[in-house]
Amino acid sequence: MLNGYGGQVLRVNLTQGSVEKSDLDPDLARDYLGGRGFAAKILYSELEKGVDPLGEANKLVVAAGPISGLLIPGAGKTTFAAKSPATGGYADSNVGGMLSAEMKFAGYDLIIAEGVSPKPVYLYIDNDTVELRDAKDYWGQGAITAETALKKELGDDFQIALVGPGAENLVKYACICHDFGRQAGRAGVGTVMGSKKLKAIAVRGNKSIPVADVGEFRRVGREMLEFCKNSDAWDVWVRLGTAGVNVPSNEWGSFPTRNFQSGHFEEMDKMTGEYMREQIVVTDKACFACPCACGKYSYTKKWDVHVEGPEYETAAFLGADVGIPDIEDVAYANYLCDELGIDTISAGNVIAFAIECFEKGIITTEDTDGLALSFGDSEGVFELIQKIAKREGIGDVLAEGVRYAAEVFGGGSSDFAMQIKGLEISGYESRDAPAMMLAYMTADIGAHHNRAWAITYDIEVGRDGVTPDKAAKVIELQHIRPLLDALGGCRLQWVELGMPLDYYVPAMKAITGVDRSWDDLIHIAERVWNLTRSFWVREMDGFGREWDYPPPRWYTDPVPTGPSKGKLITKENVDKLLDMYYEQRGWDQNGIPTREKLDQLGLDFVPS
Amino acid sequence: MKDGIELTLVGLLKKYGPAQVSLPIESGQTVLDVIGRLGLNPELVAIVMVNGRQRFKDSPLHPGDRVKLLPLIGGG
Amino acid sequence: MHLTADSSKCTGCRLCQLACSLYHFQENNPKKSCLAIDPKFPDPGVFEVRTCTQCGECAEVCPVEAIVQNEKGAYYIDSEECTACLECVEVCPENVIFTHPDREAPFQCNLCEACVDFCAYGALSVE
Repeated sequence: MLNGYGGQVLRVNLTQGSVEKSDLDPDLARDYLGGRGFAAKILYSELEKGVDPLGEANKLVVAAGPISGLLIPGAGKTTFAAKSPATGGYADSNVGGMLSAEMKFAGYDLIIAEGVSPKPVYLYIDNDTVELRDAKDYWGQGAITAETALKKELGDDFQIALVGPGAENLVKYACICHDFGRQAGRAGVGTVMGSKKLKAIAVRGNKSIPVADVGEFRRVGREMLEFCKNSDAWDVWVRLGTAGVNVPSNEWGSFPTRNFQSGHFEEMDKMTGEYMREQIVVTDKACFACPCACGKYSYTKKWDVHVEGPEYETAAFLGADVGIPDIEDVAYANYLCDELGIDTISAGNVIAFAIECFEKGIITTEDTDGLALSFGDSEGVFELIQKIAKREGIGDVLAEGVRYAAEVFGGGSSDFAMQIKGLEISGYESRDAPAMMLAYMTADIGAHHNRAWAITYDIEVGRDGVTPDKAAKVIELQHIRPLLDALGGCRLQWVELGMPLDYYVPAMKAITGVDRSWDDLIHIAERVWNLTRSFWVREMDGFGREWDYPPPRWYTDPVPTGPSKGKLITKENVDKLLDMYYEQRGWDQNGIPTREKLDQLGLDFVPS
Repeated sequence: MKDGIELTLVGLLKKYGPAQVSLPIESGQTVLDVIGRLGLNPELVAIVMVNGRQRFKDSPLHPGDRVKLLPLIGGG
Repeated sequence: MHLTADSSKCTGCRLCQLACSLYHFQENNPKKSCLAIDPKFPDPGVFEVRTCTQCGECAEVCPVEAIVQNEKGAYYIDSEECTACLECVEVCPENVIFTHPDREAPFQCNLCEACVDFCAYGALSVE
């Protein structure tokens, strides 16, 4: 028995329709903790170079962490990982909610889905009973519709992760949906699940999770909880959720607007977290064991739908970035993406790109099935979302992601195709935020903000500085955030509520019985970071610095409007940021981990 | 304070000013004026709550208002 | 005295159930707790909490008189006397007498108030 863990690994071979259980390897738990640590190790060790992301050889890893399911505030995250069909590189994406907890109550830390099923199936897990079941009745259904139907069939106490039509149609940024409106959204982990014809994972368990020292665990857990409850920021985040950031981000000039042409949206009155709260929020919805429910469950009367959100990122991409100034329209676009199972960030980003191409005359109604695209046209955005999910007409191009769409549209549009490593940039315009830009450039799934939310460091120490401390901060954050992803925890308690990270040390000791210092934990996070980098190095011939460059818009076009007007980060400074970052990471000048660094981290199985 | 506002600085913003203070207020003064009077860099103040509701920094204040200023700084 | 819930404040986080299992059974397992949360999603999108009202119907129906009141007035099942006939489970109007395969006897709220203490949203109280 491994304290803090469910103790078992479930391997599902979809080609053969077989299921195999094994004990969790204690060395894996010791060296990689859980969550994204498990995912990175398994994908690096078990995938051969060059496997087709949508083929039999790719694997979908679902991972809980050692705090998942336990009374630790924020222990509600589940990691999904695979080789990305969007980028061709490493991908993981996490979702908050109830799934990882339920996996552990059923006794599993890991589910590894291999192969491709000949017909649509879903994975049924009820404690020790594990079966692949026919999913033909659910295939083709929207994610919210199918989740409702599965719960009706199996029982409300099953937790479900599933894909929608977007994944079935292999949209490259399809997500994995859970709990009526939450998604592991990024880099196409849902596309991989769809390609395997795995419609859903339904899990229920009733086992206790073993804990080394129950009394001490209860004490530390309660202390963490009390800190969160008493935080003077608590009421703000419960009231507003992440949509509370819409206003400050816009004031910083970092709210992506009209395909990142600007970072400042003029029409914010109906886009604030407060407006959303007053107009559409119905219920505060928490993840497992979270004392600060940032989830806002909403009902828009205008469109007569329920939707969870819109979150900050969705307000950015289905709002300002496509020019929509009304949170109710954003909510409906959000609902469409959730039901169809596609990522709101990538979908909004690629639609904004198409609109800019249309306005610049790079594409015309001949390319758009007769649609005249324009910023601020809500109905047009709704239609494009549906075309993407069904791969109809121009939707078939946009479903491949913005990098590919730019190749098809041509006309110099790659310069403003807002992606890095093939992943659409998420919600922070960064021409006036060097640390944030570096965070995007070096994020290990492509341009995603959640590896290091460094813009708030730029804000504190000064926006202009292109200095070594910014690289150091990005690296520091790139270890803390992924550590939380490995543990199965959320960052909100730390970032938004100010809970000291020190708590995780006694918590982990009480849970696992293993005495680790904070530095020990960070060492593991650094090991994982170097391993995911090594995945890219192995996968992409000639991988290096060029992969880390942002799109030219970010180093050639000064911001035209708003508080960051005139700002950009020159190519010279982009290189300077990378030089500082690589050096501090112990990588070579091309951004490749050195032998010395790999050995220092116990990654001796990674070739130089 | 009857003629003024009750001001709370949240989290890391306390590095830059008093955690809680009562401030006199004149009619027409905005949140931004208060931030200026405290000598705070306005950019350090991310979220403004007035009587439990999020407001823009140019919102006017009234005697008796409870104002909470929340930073998003330091990296996260 | 009995435990009461304001469902409109519930966020579905299950901290109450975790606390319940940790204080009642010294185990981390919300499936061994003495109150229930029913999420109603996608429509209307609310959580409904069920708690023991201490109505005493369970005690009345128990054929071996194994359900008695503790010092707080809470009905509890004496597992030594219980024959696991489950008549109490069936009769409970709130459906808040629970069973678990690990345990022969069913279990119910003993008014320890751990859930009240751990709920961050003020959704639970003892009246």
